[in-house]
Amino acid sequence: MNTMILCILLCALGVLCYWLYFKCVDWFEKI
Amino acid sequence: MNSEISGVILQWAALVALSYPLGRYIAKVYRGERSWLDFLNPVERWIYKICGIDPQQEMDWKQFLKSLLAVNLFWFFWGMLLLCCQGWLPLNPDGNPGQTPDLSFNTCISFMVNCNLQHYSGETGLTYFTQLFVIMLFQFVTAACGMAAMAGIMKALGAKTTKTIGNFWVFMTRSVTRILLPLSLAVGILLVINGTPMSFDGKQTIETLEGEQQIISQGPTAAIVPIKQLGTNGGGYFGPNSSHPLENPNAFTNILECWSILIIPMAMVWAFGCYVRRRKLSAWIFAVMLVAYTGGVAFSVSQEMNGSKQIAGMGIAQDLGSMEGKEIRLGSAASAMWGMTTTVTSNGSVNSMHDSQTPLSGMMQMLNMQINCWFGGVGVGWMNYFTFLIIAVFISGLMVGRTPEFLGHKVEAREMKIATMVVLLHPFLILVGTGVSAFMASGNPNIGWLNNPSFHGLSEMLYEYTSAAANNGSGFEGLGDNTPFWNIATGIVLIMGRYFPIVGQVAIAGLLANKKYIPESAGTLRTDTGTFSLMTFAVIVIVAALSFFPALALGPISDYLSI
Repeated sequence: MNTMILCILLCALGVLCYWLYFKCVDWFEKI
Repeated sequence: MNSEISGVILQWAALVALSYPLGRYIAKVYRGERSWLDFLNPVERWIYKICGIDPQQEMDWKQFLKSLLAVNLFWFFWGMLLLCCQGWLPLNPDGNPGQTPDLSFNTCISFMVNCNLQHYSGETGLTYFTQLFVIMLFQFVTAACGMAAMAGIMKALGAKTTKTIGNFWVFMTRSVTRILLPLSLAVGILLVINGTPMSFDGKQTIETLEGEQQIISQGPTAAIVPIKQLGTNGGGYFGPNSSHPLENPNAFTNILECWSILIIPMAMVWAFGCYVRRRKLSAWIFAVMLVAYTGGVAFSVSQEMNGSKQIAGMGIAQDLGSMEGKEIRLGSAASAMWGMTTTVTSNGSVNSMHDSQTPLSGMMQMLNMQINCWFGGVGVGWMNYFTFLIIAVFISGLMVGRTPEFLGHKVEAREMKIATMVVLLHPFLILVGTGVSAFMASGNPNIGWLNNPSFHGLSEMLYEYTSAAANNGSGFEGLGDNTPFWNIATGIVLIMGRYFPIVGQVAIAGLLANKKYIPESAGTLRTDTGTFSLMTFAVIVIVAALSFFPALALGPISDYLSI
């Protein structure tokens, strides 16, 4: 795979993980 | 007495003796009380001013966690960018190239989560610039991040009823300026005196006694090694980590570095007791952790000093113990103690190759990381124990028919749901990862990862995921792990294993602190007793045993029985 595309995809994967944790913060209040 | 055993006892005694005064000092730092480092106040005020932080602003647990996550997200982009582009950046006298995207992803997340799993060799995979502005920077700030999270929990649990748990930025800044930096400076000076290099010169070519040419890497090693150990980071400046003679030159530096791994995690237990004014509770927590750690050290030292039957069978003397993969200048006992110390914490640095230790020592190392709360990483190790405390309070309360309470706050269904998810995520990540990898390896024998077949090959994969999920970073180095699959798979496990527990544990503390305080009475289940501590120990061991015993039976235990 093209290096640049792989780099962008992996950055997006990292951002997705953090988005999940931000959601968890709100979720834990309501769980 | 054998001098190796004396060294182990001396180090154990130095850890236990100095942990309490350091813990008391750490509690003072987080309480904002006067200490001998108050001359750093102007530096801290300058940092707050530059970063636009109001140190007086209190945060609720949600604001606290969002600050923690936001700064980590920033570091993620910072690390990815610099590691990919390091070949074009300054301080690169040896001309090392940029890392591939998948290796950058793994390296960046690994250092950002305080793990330091290294799928590259330190001296050739990084430049001086990235060693300093990614690796060393992350080693300070991520350790401080874990300590700040624990400080927030201490503030929450120390109050009767509160909506705020302190200011994340203040706790993090103080962790660096008043705890990590001063200790790192002291350890760094001792390392330089003992021969660890501290320079920006490139590789040196020397002529050996046999007349051969040898290229020796050097660099700012003494700046990085102290925080590598004190922050329970573990990422080696050189590929062989602390088994390299320039990273760990002699027996004194070996004791100093090994002491540095455990001193802050031990002190954090006392810091909790001093902060919330529950010294008896922290003494019992310390006792449980110390018994588990000491038992593991005694077991592993005896295993390694007794030598390997298999190698003895080849006619090779085992008088010095099992010396495969170990440094002669350090010996088998010191290597075994380091192996246990680095795995009870989330450190992961090595002074011998864990892959070469006897099978049952390898099993103990994995078990330490699978339990992940016998002192553990700076701040986060105690927080993992706190999760088990909540579960033990709940189970004990049900068993004796009392309302489950911890430090005057009712433990209810919401806290239990979060605690259960946090505890179960750890085995889920390890066992699912190992299962998928084993399936892929069995389906394609030419996959090229495994240098060892059978039980030991499974142990290598199990160790890799265990190390990633526990944010430890050590490895059974027989595994060929610098591949896109391992870089991305362990990268995901690393990031899941770090933040979900932190978010859950701070949330539990914040939710407890919001509740009405219930004063202790005759009907309160006391948590600062030997019986309750034994109960917590049992909960931890049962959860770990039930989760991991089948995998350990197929890996290191079968390995041991097949010798």
